[in-house]
Parts: sequence; structure tokens; C-alpha cells
Amino acid sequence: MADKIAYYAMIDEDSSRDQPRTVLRRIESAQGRADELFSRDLEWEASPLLHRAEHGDISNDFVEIAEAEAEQIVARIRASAADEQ
Amino acid sequence: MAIDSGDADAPDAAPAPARSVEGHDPPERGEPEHGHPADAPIPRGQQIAEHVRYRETVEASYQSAEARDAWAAAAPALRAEWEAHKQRYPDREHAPSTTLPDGGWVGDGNRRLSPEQNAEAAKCAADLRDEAIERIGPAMERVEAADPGRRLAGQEHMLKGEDRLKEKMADELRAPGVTVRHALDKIADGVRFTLEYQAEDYAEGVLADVGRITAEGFQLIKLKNLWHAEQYKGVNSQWRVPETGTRCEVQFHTAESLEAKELTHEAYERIRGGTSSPAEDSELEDFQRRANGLLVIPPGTDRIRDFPE
Repeated sequence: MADKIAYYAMIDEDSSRDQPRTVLRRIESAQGRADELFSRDLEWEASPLLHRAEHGDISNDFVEIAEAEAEQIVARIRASAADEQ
Repeated sequence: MAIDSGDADAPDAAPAPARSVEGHDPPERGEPEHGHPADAPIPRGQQIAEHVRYRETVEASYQSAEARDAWAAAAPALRAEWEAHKQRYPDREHAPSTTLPDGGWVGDGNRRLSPEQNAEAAKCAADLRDEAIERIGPAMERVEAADPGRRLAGQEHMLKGEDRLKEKMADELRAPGVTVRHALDKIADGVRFTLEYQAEDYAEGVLADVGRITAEGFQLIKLKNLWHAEQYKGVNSQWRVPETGTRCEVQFHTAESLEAKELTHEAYERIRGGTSSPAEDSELEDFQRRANGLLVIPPGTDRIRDFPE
């Protein structure tokens, strides 16, 4: 089975739909499901945040987005990190 | 939504002599109530409105009884299923959380905090404990006392364990740009309460209690109506104590949704821990979905709006 990947913008109180905090992706494959967050280390890493939200944790909002928008958010985070260095 | 009881409840179809629904001694289902003084005519519009309210109350009672019965019938099989799952997939050993010699912290799933982050989290946990005991807990008990028709459930779990707080902080800190202070601020369930209602009183009760908590001086930060979610049912809210900025969480459940949450909590924890196999994850998700799928949305719940909308 080919991997199916869904992307989600993560929005908290100090971010917005236009400027999400970061992106999570949910990868579904023959091996099962994995949630990954684009992290402060500029890498994709396992994260329980989306799972928590599905179980009533309202600290973060997650909005499903297209892959192209996810790539734009990741590029923005990378550029912001580069500027800080 | 569940409150819609059909065309028969439309004002045009309402019989004229309907009267008060406040007394809980209603006539037969669908019949108007008679017997008010003949010299005190009730305006037609009021009669219709009262009749509609009465019909809604009756419908709500019927729906709630059906929901209770459906859950009560299904719950034993779900519990047995969960026990069988645990036999098939024994829980793994959890590595104990550790404070490192340099003051840092390592928790479940190899989550880590630096010495500074760990010190901040420990101080936050201590402050939360003090404020929960001195300010937030007593206020919530006053809210509870305002209506004997529902109760605060699980008050012994009012405080999130310090290691769970640190785990959550570590998870939040992995997102870009999140500071320690920001991560701690986002964790509203360091102090949490659950109000439990009968399904037929749920919507009115939640709306009234949101008002009561506000009247206690708390500021509503966020409220989510999650009754249409797949794996969790209820209303969850975050509040701020204005004087200190401390946050707390209040969950609003029916007896059935609270039981479903408790029944599926271990399944949730297994997935969250990140160490269950993909095959087990799939079963766990299916279990949670089916358990919550058995819950009937309480009548009138669509009136509970998200905040901010």
C-alpha cells in the first residue's frame, strides 16, 4: 500500500491560520500510522500532539491543509531559523 | 440536531391551551396541560412557546433514557473487549522518569527537559498545587453547590501529576518558537475539573455553569464542543485566573460520555506513549471510535457554541 499522507497546520494562541505554529503530518502505510511534527530542530519527528487533540486536548487547533501549503509553512520556518542564526 | 423533534413541534401545529413546563408533573406525552384559572388568559404566543418547550423537555427525557439504556447495554461488552485486548497485547514496562545529576529530566518516550526547563516545570507544578487548593478548588466547589442536579467528578484527579506535566511540556517545546513559559501557559489541564450531568439536563447545565464559573471571576479562554468528534465526546474549556494568570481546565460530561472517556483512556495512553505496534494502534483506534460512537448526543447540545467561535 502506498503511503497516504495528510498535513495539518498547528495553530495555538500565539499563531494563526495565516501563520501557523508548524505543520504535522499523518502518514498511513501498510505498517500502520505515524504522526510527525516539523520541529524546532527543523526535522520531522514523532509527536503525540494531534492524537492529544483528537482526545479532547484543546491547547492546539489542527486544520487539514494541502501538501503545497505544508511545504510553504515548512519553508517559512526554515527561513525564520536561518534569519535567527 | 438532537433537539429537533419534528414537524409536530412547529408552532403552527401546537394546540392552543398548553401552559407551563416548569412544574415537573407533565401531562401525558403530547397532551396540553389544562387547569389554569379561567380569568388569567395566556397570550397565544406564550402558549405556543411554552408548549414547544414542554415538548422539547419530554423529547429530551425520552432521548436521554434511550441513550442511557443503549450505553448500559453496550458497556459490559466493551469492558470485556478491553480486557481481552490487554491479554493479547500486554502493556510494556514504563521506564520511570528520572531527574539527571545536572538537574535535567528524562521521561517516558525519552522526552527530555534541560535543567532550566525542569526547574521551571517543577516550580509551575508547585504553584499550581497551591493555587488549586487555595483558590480554584474552592471556587469550583461553590459552582457545584449551586445545583444539586450534577456533580464534580474525580476531584481526586484535580492535579495533573508532575511527570505528566513535564511530558506535556516536553512535547509542546518540540514545536518551533515555543518558549518554556509559553509551553507551560498552554497546559491548562495542570488543574482540571469535570462536571457530570444527566443527559437531559446537559445543555442547560453546561450553559448555566459556564456562567457560574465566569461569575466566580474566571476568564474563559477557550471552549470546544466536541460532541461531533469521533474519538472523544464532551465539551472542554480552558479558564484563566485573572489575578495570577494561572489556567485550569473544566470538562463537561454526561455520565455516559465520562464513562466512555474512562473506558478508552488506557487505549489513548497506549497510543500516546508511542510504543504500541501499528497493528495494536489500529485496534486501539477502532475500539475508541466504536465506544464513542455508541454515545448519543444530548439534546440541545448544538446551543453550546465554541469560544472563540
